[in-house]
Amino acid sequence: MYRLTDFYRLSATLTGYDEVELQGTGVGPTYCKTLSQWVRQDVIQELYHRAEEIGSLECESNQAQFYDRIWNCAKLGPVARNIIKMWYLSIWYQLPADWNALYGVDDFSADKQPVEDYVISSNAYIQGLVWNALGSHPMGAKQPGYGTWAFPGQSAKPLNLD
Amino acid sequence: MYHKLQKRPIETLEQLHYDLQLAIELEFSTLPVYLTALYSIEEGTNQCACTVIRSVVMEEMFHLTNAANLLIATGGSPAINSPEFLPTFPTKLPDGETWFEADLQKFSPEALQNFLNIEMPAALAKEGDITIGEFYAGIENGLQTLHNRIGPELFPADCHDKQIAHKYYYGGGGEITPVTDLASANFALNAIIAQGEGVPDECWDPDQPFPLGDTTGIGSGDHQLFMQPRELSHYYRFNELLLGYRYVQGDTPNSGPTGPAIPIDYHQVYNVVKNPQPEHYQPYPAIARLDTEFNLTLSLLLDQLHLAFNGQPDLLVAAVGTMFGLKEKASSMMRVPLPDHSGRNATPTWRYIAAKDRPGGC
Repeated sequence: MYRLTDFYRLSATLTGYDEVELQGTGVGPTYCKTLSQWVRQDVIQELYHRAEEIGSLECESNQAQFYDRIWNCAKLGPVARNIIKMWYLSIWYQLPADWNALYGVDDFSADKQPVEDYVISSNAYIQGLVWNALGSHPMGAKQPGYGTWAFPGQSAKPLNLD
Repeated sequence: MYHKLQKRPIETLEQLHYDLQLAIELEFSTLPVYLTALYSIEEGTNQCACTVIRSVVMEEMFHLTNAANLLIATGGSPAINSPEFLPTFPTKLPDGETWFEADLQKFSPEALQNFLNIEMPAALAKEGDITIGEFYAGIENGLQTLHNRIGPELFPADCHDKQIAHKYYYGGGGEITPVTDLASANFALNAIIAQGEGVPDECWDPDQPFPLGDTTGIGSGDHQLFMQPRELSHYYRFNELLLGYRYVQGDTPNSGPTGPAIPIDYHQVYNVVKNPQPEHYQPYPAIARLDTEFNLTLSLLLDQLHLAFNGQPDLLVAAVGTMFGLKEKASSMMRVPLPDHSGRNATPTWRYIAAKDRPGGC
């Protein structure tokens, strides 16, 4: 199943970026597909549901719940961490072998598991959140203009617009 | 109505400065129109259309710089960072072209028709309709009139160094040449007219073939000025896109383009809102915030350009950086669907936010 809305909502919680900012990268559908490729649907659904139950991470009690029920959960924690790394670093990392043994996709044939960590697409590299978070730009793309490397860096969200 | 043209021959320095300021506003006002269409094209698609629109955008920025240098060279000061500088779309162009409105819209045949109106050569315009080329011809005449009266003092020596020099203008739509006398002023003006409408021709003949090169079929109004490969004027470059075919050697305005087809896919375009207003985004605070962020970046850009054209040319380096940031913000926003299930995407409103209205402003 391919539930982009759920994926964006969960991703916003996990990355700290607004849903519209994630949509603005244009790579959300690819990431959603990538997740479905390497993680079983029932595991993904469970992660969506649990994140939904916990709600916004702005209040501290929800954050504590998030750590207990997702981050430190042997089944859901590695998936949540992979989603964050996917958004920030544009890379799908192999899930740990012991996790795979318990919760991995049914078919363990070679084409069902990535043989190594991989950059999801050329555009994904450009759209990695890490660049924005660093106040930088992906080397070789989104050029910032000649000489701008001599300017002080900018923080990811310099303005409070509320 | 956004219409500032004073229909009269230029007879005083104030009038010249007024029209050159208008020229700067005119050149800038085309940018949101072209860039909205350009950025609405999905990544990696419609390469030819992207190349053409980008080439025109680069040249519009070059024209803006030339007009600003002319204003500076004659002792004037460009005024760029104010809400009045930027029209609200849809808009009449500020040089008095009242016969159409320029729109912010996605890349489409309708957009290309709008581009053609903007770049309409005088020879094709209806009797009485003002074109950009005619507006600049008025400035050219005014320069001559004033030069006859004032002499070389029309270009004070202490104004030479305040202009934007070519070293700040890498990869642009032409070579910036300093304006120091009447000849260099006319050179700068001609570059604007030639790129936009094509080299002015006293004896316009729609059956006269375009001066295209033997091999590429793509040539230029520029080449006599810059020794560049020939390319068509803006009007005919957009005309090729709308008709979907290239002009080749031997083609005339009447024959239309008879060369190879240009691959264009209007479906590979983000369906962005036409002429968006900030009110459109009020129901969607997250999207409104993206629009505000874009407008804050735009405002920063206008501030930087204003300072660069008013004695701090080094700031153009920073301004170019801001332009790249603006592009990324626009592209990101256009990928965001409006939550109203209309199938339309967001797109920037292109508004200047005065310093006092910015976060933390006073």
